[in-house]
Amino acid sequence: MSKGSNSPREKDHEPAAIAEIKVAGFKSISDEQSIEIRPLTILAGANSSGKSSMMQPLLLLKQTLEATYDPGPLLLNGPNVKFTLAEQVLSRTSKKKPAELFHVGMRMAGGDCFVLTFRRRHKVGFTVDSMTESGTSGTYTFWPGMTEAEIIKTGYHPRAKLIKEDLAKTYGVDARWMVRRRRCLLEVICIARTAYGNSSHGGLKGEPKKSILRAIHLPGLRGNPERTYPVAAIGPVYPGTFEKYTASVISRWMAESKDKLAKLNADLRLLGLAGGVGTARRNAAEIEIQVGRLANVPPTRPEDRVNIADVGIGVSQTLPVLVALHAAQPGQLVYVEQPETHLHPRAQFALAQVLVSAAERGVRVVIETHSSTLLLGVQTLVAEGKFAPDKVKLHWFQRGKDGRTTVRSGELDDAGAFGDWPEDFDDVMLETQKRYLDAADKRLFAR
Amino acid sequence: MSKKRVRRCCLVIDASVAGAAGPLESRHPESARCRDFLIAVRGICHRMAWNEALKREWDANQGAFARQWRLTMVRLKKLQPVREESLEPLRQAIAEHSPDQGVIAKMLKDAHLIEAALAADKRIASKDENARGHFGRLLAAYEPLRRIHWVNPANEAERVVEWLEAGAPLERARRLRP
Repeated sequence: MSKGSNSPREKDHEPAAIAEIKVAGFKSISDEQSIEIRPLTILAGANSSGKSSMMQPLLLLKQTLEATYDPGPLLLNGPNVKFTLAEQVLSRTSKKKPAELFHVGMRMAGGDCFVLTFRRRHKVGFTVDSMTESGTSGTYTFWPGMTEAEIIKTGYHPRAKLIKEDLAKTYGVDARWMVRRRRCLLEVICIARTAYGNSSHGGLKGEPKKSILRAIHLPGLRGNPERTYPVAAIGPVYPGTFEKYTASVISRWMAESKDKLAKLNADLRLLGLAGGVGTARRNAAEIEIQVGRLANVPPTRPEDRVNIADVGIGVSQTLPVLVALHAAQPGQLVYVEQPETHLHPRAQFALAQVLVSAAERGVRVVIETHSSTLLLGVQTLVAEGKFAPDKVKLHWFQRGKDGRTTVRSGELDDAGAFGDWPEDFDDVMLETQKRYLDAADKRLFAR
Repeated sequence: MSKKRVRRCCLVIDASVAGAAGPLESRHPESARCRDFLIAVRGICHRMAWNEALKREWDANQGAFARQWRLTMVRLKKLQPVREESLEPLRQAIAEHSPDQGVIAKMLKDAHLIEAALAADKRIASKDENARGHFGRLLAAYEPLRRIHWVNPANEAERVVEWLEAGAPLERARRLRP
């Protein structure tokens, strides 16, 4: 994102990974909170503690940028997150009225940052209030309605005056610097309006936009198992939520990427979910997902396979997660809400291995979880020396008495221990076990 | 469990407590008291002394509850490695303590508790009253035992949870007695 940056990654047009997200004024995240994104990032905390609220602004940007029409500065009600009123989005700092602004910021792996601030407008929803970009060349803030003099004064384009003169000279008309909204982003552009159309210089920096668009989202509810799934185009960008691409991705791998299919099948067996998976094209628009009837035996004959709707729901809920993790490219963010949904504890533990494998490949895996077993699986792999502790970041979300979310972040040491990180799964487990044992002892010794 | 600011100590916790905390391993309400004790140790952020000898005993005696508790202590970095050192003067004193070879064998089996406590914060939690009595009678023969403070989590009268909440102070009443 920095101006004049010429890293090999940019030459290859591969956007930088998102390395940090910060949010303020959004739902329960009233004061600014930030989370560092490592190869494996774990968000945990009680229900309604603000875990999803930390990721939803990113999803709002994603669904706004992906809309097939210009939905304005923010598409509130889309495939990834659903709001109908601006008030639902904004923090309530007092009982009377919600805040007027929220902001979302991101730091990319190269160090460049941007912050977008949105303002509530009565009966309009939101407008982009400002956009701040920071990089090696400095920090620049832009807002709609910024005058040309103000834009030039920022020094964002060191040669702004020359560019303006060149454009004007070339086309024989006046050229002017301006800030223009592009969906949820702002671009700084110099436009010369000619009789044949507009000519321009500058525009949107592509990297943050690409990184947001490449984010893969698997919501907590990944749909009911279906007899057939619609045919969909294959990534690396997956608009909306990922689960609807699952059948098409597997179908593609069956034809073109046996290696990925083999790894997916190995994961299914590791989790004890199915012996393997395949697809059958039913017509031009629909694909059927078939899974092995037995959990640990690869299906070799047609009668070994059954429709995914005929097996446990754990398969249909987990398969999209596994496919997404294998489909994602290095640097691509995969956000999975409750990956452990419908999984037996043994499978939850094994799922840690699958997540770690994707993280080792360079995928940025962000999970939101309530599973102590899954967390223990990650800790075990670290303690066994199979996953470097510095590739994991833990974020614990909690709400104070005033309802405000705070995030406490932690790390694992080489023994997989997290020390003072305020995880409360173990407290709950010991308290519940103690309560049961005390009650059972009383009964048993009363006999 | 409240986490108020108290002095945090490194305690030697005998496997007898771990065994008693599980279901059916001990008479109620002793097992309930042992569970309360372990939960209080963790909640108040005391640490547990840990070495190979203690681990062997825990591995052999812990019930399901103690295993879970131990796991949570590891996650919280509350197992503190302590030097494992066989103290020859102690073992010599034990060998000369009684004509009963059974008593000597029992005391030698528990000597690791004393050795670990002397390497840590001098506090032992055990529900083994026999061992407590034998080591008390060894005070004259082995001077460092005077520094040992011994609590029995299964004994309600000892109010060990309150003791933990107070920072596990070195109280005269909890010293070994001849």
